[in-house]
Amino acid sequence: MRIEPVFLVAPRTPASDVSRRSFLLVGATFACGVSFGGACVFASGGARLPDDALAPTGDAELDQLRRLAIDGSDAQLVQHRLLLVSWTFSHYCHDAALWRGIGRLCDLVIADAAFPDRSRFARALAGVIERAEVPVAAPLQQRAQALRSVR
Amino acid sequence: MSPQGGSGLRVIGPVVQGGTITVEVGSNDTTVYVSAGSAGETVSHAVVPGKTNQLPVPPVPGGTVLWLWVGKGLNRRVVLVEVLAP
Repeated sequence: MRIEPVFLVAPRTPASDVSRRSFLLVGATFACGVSFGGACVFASGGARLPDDALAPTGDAELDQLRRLAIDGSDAQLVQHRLLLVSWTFSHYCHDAALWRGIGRLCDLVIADAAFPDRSRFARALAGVIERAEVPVAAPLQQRAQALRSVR
Repeated sequence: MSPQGGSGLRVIGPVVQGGTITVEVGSNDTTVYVSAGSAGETVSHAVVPGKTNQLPVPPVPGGTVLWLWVGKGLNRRVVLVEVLAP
């Protein structure tokens, strides 16, 4: 019996679907998404909040102010606006959650012509933002000019 | 100018650069805080409870809105008042 040599040739593999073009397309889409999302966060005036932004801190006043700033309704925020802003600059100027609430107040006072004591509050808020020397308030700096033009 | 503020703290009359702030405080308040809007620019003033008191206007430009408050904790009562140029 004679054994004939058999040459096995692996089937030709089709070209990979992941071409350079599709890789670039996915990369560009991701980059656009990241920049657009970042711009939205920046425009909304909020520094990124940690996941435990509302976790108890052991400071009952801070916890309550944080809940107001993040979870409070617009009406509650407006009602307690002086309390929130004054506590933020006087005691908790490094707290990102409270500055998020101040960002919400910026939006409300700029948009709502019926905001109580609108002009004075807007100028007071602008002063607080301009005086804030903390990184967490930096995204709001661009709102100060708009606040000063509120009449 | 009408008084600004409600129970516990009222500012009476205009507030002019270099002048005084006339405040009426509640019967339990012994300290009034005056601030231009930052912790470093906040000054506390001892006051007579239940009386009208005179506080110095801090050295700020005309048009600055001051934050005044009394009370402890979240019972703080806050009033905004604008400093007028003379």
